[in-house]
Amino acid sequence: MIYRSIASTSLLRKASIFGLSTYLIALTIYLVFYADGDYYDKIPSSFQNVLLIALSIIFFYEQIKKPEAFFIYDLPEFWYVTGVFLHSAGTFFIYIFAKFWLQDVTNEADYNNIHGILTILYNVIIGFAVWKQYKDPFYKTSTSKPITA
Amino acid sequence: MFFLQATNSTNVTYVVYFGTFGMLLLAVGLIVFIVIHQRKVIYFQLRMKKMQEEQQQMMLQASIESQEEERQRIAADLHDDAGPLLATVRLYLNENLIHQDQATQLQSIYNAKQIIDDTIQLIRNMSHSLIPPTLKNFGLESAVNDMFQKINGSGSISASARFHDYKRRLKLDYELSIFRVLQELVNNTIKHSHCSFIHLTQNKTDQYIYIRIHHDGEGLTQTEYEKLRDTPQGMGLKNIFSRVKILNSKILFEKDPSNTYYKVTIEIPIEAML
Repeated sequence: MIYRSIASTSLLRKASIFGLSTYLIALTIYLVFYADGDYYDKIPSSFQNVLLIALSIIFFYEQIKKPEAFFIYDLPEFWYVTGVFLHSAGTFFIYIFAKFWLQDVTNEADYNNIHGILTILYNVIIGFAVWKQYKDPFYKTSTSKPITA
Repeated sequence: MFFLQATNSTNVTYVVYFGTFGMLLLAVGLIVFIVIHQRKVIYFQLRMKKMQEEQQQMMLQASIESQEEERQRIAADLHDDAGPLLATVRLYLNENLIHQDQATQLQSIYNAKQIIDDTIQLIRNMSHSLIPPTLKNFGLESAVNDMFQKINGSGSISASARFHDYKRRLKLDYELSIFRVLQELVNNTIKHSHCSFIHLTQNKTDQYIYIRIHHDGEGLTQTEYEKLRDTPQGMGLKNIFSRVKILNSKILFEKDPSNTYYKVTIEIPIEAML
């Protein structure tokens, strides 16, 4: 439902489907042929972050292109995407350097702190988006779909 | 290069810290930019909408005022011209007429007939001013030629019109609107420009009809037209604007580069008018 609500434009839908398919194919190939062990390491996670950042930027671009006269931050979708966007941007470097950085055990606390803060921020923003959608379930916009209990 | 050099743990820590901080800063900056930009766009849209509403309101006001003026003019004509004429007829045909001799009776009836003829002519003229019969029966080209002939007849201004390609008439409503616009433009030119000639030309492409009026007096440029149109005094220009808008057409006021004459061009889309 959230996907349908967010991916409301043709460009965003096409980009999501294309991006996710490419990601899944690349991930499978990587895991089968190149992965150093059977785990989800820096390459797929970085690619995932890049994909999410790109999709978020497309979402924002589509939103500012829309002619409707309501503020973007009134939309719950905006907060969902903002949460994902900030989390993906914030964790981009720590995922890339995770393997290398965590070789030194003293960095583990820092890693956990940064990751923890970003996860809390992500959850707070997503929580706010859900609350916003609950609070005004009949908010009439072209994209927003109400969440009803 | 910095990433490639990040070979020891301290450097990696810096890269991770600064990288994360930079990415977050960029992300927040982007979001803030989008929100501010969108707010600006929305406020701009709202301002435009308000301006459009105000303009529509002004157009409506101008249209109502122009209708009211027209009604007042008709009422004044009826009251001042037709009323006294009919009252005079009534005097001629009063009850005492039967007590008078035959010659006086015949004279009175003849006079009454004359006055009734005058009244008929007066009412016909009033009706013609509402919709010119030439326009109704023979079309825009004839009506414009008729109007220009009358202007020529005054002797002070040389007026000529040339329709290059007007074989197929437009709908009467549209022709009337175009004629009213031309009438207003020509009247304005005669009243304000102190010109010695007015020349009208009509041309046609596949999609548009172009009607152009040239004159050698003092005219308006597009900026001046738009400025005057929005003033309370610019009633005629407001009427021109609203009629042109109804016709889905464009009007352009220009000064010739040679500074010898002014021209007004009306671009009328053909498709909807036939």
